[in-house]
Amino acid sequence: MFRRVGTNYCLALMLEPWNAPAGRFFVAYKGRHGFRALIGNGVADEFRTISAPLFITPTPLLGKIYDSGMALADRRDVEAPLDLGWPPLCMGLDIASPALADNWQPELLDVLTDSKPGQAPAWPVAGSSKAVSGYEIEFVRCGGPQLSSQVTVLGTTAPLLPGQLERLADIDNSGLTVAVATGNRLLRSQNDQAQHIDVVSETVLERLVEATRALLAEAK
Amino acid sequence: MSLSRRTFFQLSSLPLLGACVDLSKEPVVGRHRARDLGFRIGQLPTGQWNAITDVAGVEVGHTTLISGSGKLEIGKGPIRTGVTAIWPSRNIVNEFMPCGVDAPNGNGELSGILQARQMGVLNSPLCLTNTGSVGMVYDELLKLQPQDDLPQGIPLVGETYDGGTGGLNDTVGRHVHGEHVRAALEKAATGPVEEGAVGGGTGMVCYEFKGGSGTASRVVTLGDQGGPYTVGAIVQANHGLRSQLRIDGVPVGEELPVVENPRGEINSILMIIATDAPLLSHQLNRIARRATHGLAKTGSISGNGSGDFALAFSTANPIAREKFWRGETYSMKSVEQFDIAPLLQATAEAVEEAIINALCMATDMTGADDVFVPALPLTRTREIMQEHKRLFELQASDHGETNNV
Repeated sequence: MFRRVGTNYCLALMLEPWNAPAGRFFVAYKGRHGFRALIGNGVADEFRTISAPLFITPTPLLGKIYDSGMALADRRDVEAPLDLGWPPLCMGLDIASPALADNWQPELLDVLTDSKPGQAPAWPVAGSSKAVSGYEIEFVRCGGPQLSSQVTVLGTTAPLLPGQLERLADIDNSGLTVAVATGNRLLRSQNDQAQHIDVVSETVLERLVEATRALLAEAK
Repeated sequence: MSLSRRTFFQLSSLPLLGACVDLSKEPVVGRHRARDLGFRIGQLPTGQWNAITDVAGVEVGHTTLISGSGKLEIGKGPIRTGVTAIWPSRNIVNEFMPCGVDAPNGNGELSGILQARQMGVLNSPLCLTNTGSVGMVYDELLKLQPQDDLPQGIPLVGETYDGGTGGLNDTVGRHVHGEHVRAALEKAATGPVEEGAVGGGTGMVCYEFKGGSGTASRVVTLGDQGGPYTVGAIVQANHGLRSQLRIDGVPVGEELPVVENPRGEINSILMIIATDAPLLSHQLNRIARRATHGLAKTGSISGNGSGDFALAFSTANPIAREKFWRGETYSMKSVEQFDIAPLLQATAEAVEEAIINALCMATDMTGADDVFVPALPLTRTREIMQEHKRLFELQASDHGETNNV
């Protein structure tokens, strides 16, 4: 479900095309083992939604990548409200940063907007996916070998609420685990109707949790 | 304590706004709710009853236990306690409701809080009682859970402490039993809610005055998200030091006599918020968090020894028990996240006013070991409010149809 885009110093996990009309997805995350290298999480903390790609980068580049995420949001919709399109959730890896060219940001934005081909990141990326109960689950893992420097992103197409995503994130033990669900895409309401939200039952959630647990175990 | 329509209009006829009026010549007789005294909390209009029961389907009932006097004999009394039962709906064990929680200082007990955090649902009536009685109240509530092959719900029972040195009740005696819980559940009703030293709030002390149960509500619309929606709060107020007390921003507590209090602030508050706005559990966590703002506006900083818990639920998204546990998916509705702001304000205001109502409605009480806790002196408090130009004429719009109890 994640489309991987980026350069040798920035891996972006795209939840939808970069220029899709701004929408939100439910998100949760859990930090452990003293992991600290996460920025852009204020809106996720408050509203439990995300509407930007997820970025993974060497920790020294967090600020630069955050800025690029903002620039991408501006290209998407410069009038987007605070919680639609930004801030980008940026996760840092405990690795050295490569030297960047002077025009690194325009080039990165060209890659993120599919104007130029990208590159694989300069660090190993593990990941796999499987189907369960009609939904897709996927994980992407970077960093390590210490748990404290390991970042894992869990994704599912199932309609999970933020609290359910927290429970999904709980099964992992990385320094940072982010869980995101695309089963509900929340749009800014244009009428007086409340938003329709789908939710999986406890039975389906348990299936997803067990399948994710197995997926992560296989990765080891 | 009740306020007749006659008393209401007698009070409302007082020229409250004129700075030249000497209110010391107008002593307050009996106990009255904050608005009936001319205290206006916040800006939003109230619901019909200015109570949590303004949220359709929510019912509240108290069992109040008062007996004995003199020296404390554990197991015998004096007894100054009870239990307050809140039905989110009468069918809550079969139709769950999304809920959220917050604990600004968690030195207390709200059973079921982990279920609320993990699963984001409420599937039991709520009961508020004293510290010693949580277990038995929980046990009684558990009997309401269906007996089948689906998991049972975790009852929600909150406590505040009315015992120990300087306490009014024989808490250790655990005088709240199953029949008291059943009585509170059975007599629960919509409409006006009894306040002050009643139910679980019977033996509680708030800002070193007699505290207890209080309630209030607000009605809001949410821009293009429609409405009107109601937010109602009920509190069991047993917190704070006298010098901290503020009413509508006025430092009332600083202008009332200081009392010696060797206990410090070891007590607590429970804040239950209901709304008919369609909210999800993570949004209700935000609502619950705003309860703290209402608490803080009355002066509390959530003392280190305090067990301050807030729980918020939405009646607009009932979830069938079978679907929650064993279905595939189910549907809910949600207010758009950026249109939620009026509900946050309504929560803070309703909680603030509920606390002040608890103080205004509670009466003097003498309890275990002849401990005496005075009620908030209403005549003097009105004088202070007038000195600060925060005493207002009653307005029908402040009260909905009527809020006489």
